[in-house]
This record gives sequence, C-alpha cells and structure tokens, in this order.
Amino acid sequence: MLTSTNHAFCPGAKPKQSNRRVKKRMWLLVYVTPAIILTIIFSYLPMFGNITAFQDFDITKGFLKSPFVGFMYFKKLFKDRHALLVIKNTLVLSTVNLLFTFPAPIILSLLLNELKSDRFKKTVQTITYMPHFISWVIVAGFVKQMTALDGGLINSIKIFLFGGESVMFLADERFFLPIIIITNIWKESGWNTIIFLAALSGVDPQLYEAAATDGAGRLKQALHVTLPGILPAIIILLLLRTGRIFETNFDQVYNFINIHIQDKVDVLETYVYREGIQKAKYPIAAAAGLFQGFFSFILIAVTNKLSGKFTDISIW
Amino acid sequence: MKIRKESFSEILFNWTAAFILLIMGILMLYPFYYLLVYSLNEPLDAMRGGIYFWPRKFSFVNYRMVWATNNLPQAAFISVCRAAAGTALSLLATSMLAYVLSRPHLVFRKFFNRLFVITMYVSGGLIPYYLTLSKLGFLDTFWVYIIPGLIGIFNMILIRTYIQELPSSLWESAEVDGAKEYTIFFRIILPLCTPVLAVVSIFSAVGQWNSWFDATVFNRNSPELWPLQLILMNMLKRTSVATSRDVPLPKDVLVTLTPESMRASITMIVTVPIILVYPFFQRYFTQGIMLGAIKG
Repeated sequence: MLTSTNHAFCPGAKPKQSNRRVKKRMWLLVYVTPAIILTIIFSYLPMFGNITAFQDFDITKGFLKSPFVGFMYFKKLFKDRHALLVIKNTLVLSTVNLLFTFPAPIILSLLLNELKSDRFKKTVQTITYMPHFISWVIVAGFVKQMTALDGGLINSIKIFLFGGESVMFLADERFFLPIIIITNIWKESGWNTIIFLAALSGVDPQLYEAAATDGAGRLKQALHVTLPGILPAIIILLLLRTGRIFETNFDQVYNFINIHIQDKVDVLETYVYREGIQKAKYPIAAAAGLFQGFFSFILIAVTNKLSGKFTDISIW
Repeated sequence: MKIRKESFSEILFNWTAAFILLIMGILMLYPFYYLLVYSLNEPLDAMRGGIYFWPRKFSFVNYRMVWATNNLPQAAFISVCRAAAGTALSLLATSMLAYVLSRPHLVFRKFFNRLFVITMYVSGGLIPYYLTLSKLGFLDTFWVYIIPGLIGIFNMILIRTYIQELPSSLWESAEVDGAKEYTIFFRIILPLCTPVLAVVSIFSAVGQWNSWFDATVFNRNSPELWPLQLILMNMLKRTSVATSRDVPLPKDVLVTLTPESMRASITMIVTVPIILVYPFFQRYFTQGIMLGAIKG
C-alpha cells in the first residue's frame, strides 16, 4: 500500500500552507466528480433499472410509474420450458467450455518454456496472440468459410478421409459445443499463456539443477518442477473462472447461433437479447437477466473470497 | 553457460516441443491466409472450391466491388472515428481518474475506489442498460459508442497500480514548489506512464474496432452509423448457412460477386489493420496483464 503520510495534518504546518492543502483537496474532488457522475448514470442507474423485472413495464411511463406485479415474470420464466432449457444450456456450455479450454494455455506455456531458441519462442508467441485481437464476427466467418458445403476445407478433408456427403456443421446442434470449444481454444489459449509464462519465470532455476542432478529428464522436470511451480497461479485462475460459470460469452455464442439450431442451443445471454431487444418483451428478459446476474454475483463473491484465502495460505 | 552432452531423449524432447508449437502456429495463421487467398481469387472461380494455398485466378475484383457497395466507405469512416475518438477520450478520462484515485490526500478515497471497482463485478444487465440509455436519448447517436464506455475500470486499475508503483520522490519536489494537480499529471505522471498507456490504448482501440453489439442494439435504425464489424456480421447472418448449393444462381445473369468472396474480402479489410498494429505493442503485454492480475 501507499506509504506517503497525510501532509495536511502534519503538526507544525503553517496555516497558510494547510489552506493550500484544503484547496488542493477540493480540486481533487472536482476532478473526480465527472467520473462519478458517469459511473452513476451508466452503471448504477441500470442496476436500479432492474425493477423492470417486477413491473408491467411501459416504456412511455418509465421505471417509476409502471405498475408493479411482484414476482409474476419470474414465475412465468420458471414455467417456460424454453427458458428452463436456456438456463440448463448456459450452465452446460460454460462448464464444458471451462473444462476443455482451461488446460490449453497451461500446456502451451509449458511447451513454450521448453523452447531453446528465443527467436522461435517470440515468433510463436506473436502468432498465437493474434487471434485474441480478432473479433468473434471474423472467427465465425472463418468457420463458415472453412465448413462451406462446396469446397470448404473441412468438408473436403472429411470427404477425403471418410467419404460420403458434405456436412452442414453449423446447422447441426451436435457440433455446436465442439465448435464453441475449438474456436475458444484457437482464439484465447495463446493470449492466456501470458499469465502462466509470467508465473513460470518465477520458478527458482536451482530447482531444475537439483532435479537434473537427481537424474530427472526434461519431461520429468516439466511435470515435477515447473507444473508445481505454477500451481498457485493455476488454482487462482481456475477459481476466478469458476466464478463466471453462470455466464457465457455472448459475442461468441451469438455469432455461431443460427435459426437452424437456436431452439436447442440458446443460452441466457442470447435469450435475453432476442426476447428483450429484438422482441421488446422487457420484463421477462429483465427477469432472466436479473436471475443470471444475481447468482453470478454470489458465485463471483464466493470464489473471490476463496482465492483471497488461498493466496494468503499459499504464501508459506 | 552449461555445456553438457545432450542425450537422445533430450533432443527428441526439444524437437517434439518445437514441432507441436510449429503446428499450432500454422493452425492459427492458416485461417487468415485461407481467406486472403480466397478474397484474391476471381469470385465465380472461387466457388468451385479447392483454393487452399494459392489463388487460381488472381483478381482484385472483390475488393474493388466490395468497396463500391454496402456503404463500406461510410462504415470504415465510422469504425476509424470510433476507434480514434473512443481511444483518445477514454485514455484521457481513465488515466485522469486513475491519477486522482492514486492521490493519498483525496478525501473518501477508499469509498470512491469501491464505487468504481464494484461496477466490474455487478452490472445492471442488458435490458435495464438499454432502457436507461434510450431514456437518456443515446439511441441512434454516434456518442453511444464513446460516452458510456469513457471510463474503463479495468484499465483504470492498471494505470492506478502503475502510478502507485512509481517512486513518489519524482513529483514531491514539484508539489513542494506548489505545482497544480494538472501540471503534475500532464507534465510528470503521464510521460512516466507510457508503457501502461500503450497497453491500455491497444486494448481500447481493438475493443472499439471489434465492437458491433452496441451498434446493433442502440443504433438499429441508423445504418449510416454502423461500423465495419456490423456490416460484416449482418452479412454472415444473412447468408447464414446457405451456400451456392442452396441458392442456385441463374445462368443468364452475370454474377460478378458471391457472398463468400464478399465476406472474405471484408474480413481482410477489417483484420489487416489489427494484424499490422498489435505486434508493436507485444513487449508491453506481459506488464499490463500482470498489473491487472495483481490488483484486479
């Protein structure tokens, strides 16, 4: 934390100088005010706006004058079979996604760590960071192009290997989860190595030498020295990611959803968007959003606490 | 340093690691290359498929046509404007806030910090956010791209952490001399913050450039305000899964463009600026991410 002392209350400060300090404090407050106003308007006002979920919202009457209906829309939500499927889909998608995508950057950084040539390492890093900066719109475009029926690379390979007809991968809900996972690994695993590589550079080099004199090969060193060395980082990141298990990446999911599969693979984010923004059914969409936000917040708070505990414990 | 004879298994291990990474690198690069080649091929010929490594009939016709249709110059203008204005203004507002919140003699400092950081974990959700912005008259304006996101809390934390780690002796003398806060900020702090500002500006610029959701939600009825990404997104959604097989092309009509080649060339137009820019910021990434990991 900061070590600077509070100058304004220094004993023996001349009154004139302390006057200046007070003035300075006032100016700081002036500087911070616009930011506070912006945050209240764009972050806190919408939180308050969640009362829409308890109202028969009428856009002409607004938040304050629309009549209250209690938990009606929540009850409606939990009786709706599609909404229940959507909640289930959300949890399944984010859990499966976490399980499969989380190990990828760890493996990648262990491999990068083994490279002897710095130049090669840096090149691989530059290349694997690149997809992170590309939007999901473009990634979806890549997939669409590569899985095209006529002459798309994936279908050509499929026909070459297995024969048969071209497959419409994007229009078949069985391929939805695999596509989400693969594209996620493709896009983010390179970028996510940054944090693990930083943790790796903190592993004591003497440990490797000790392991080597004990006759451990490179693979054994990676498994018994490197991996335990970054275990704290792994556990903290895993906890933080688990805190987000109620959320999916709207940007990604929306770009891969289409009318052929949306009834089966819809998740909360896409549901809220379609019902609320496209169909203007504000209360039910707000109810779904609030349900998600509420549980998400609890989970994030719990996992944050846990990771705080863990970091304290892991210090020894 | 150490010179030691490498065993066979060691050599094998080195080469295996390098080989796997080489394959990964190729897998990450190839989609870009594939679309580049596709976009540089004559569109009707490209529909026959089989263009994986090199254009069969090289042609710039896609780019020329695409630029003339779909209101693309307008969309490109919007994209450039929002990336430039959004990044500059957000950088200024965010770094200023970071500075103020790092000052030890700010009253209610802890409370203010909480007030901002909470918004990273709790959000109002899409529908109330939409209704709030529509009440405030932000629908169908360019400013909806800039003002609501003026202060990036994550970026603010990055910059604040960086400032707090600077030795305070750097500006204490200026303070004693009675320098005003904005003098200290603009003359002393800001120049020292170049590395973290570089990270924040690339994050922010890429975010603006890639954004389409705000445009589709808030500016649905103003196509003249749509950025490139939204044009591309709409194009992808429109030709959802359909390919030339589902939509037979009439033989007597001279078709010069196909949806696929149009998509490929717009994708390239949108992607190339990012690919050209981000490598220059690479050396700052680790620092930026680690700062965020510590305090975030």
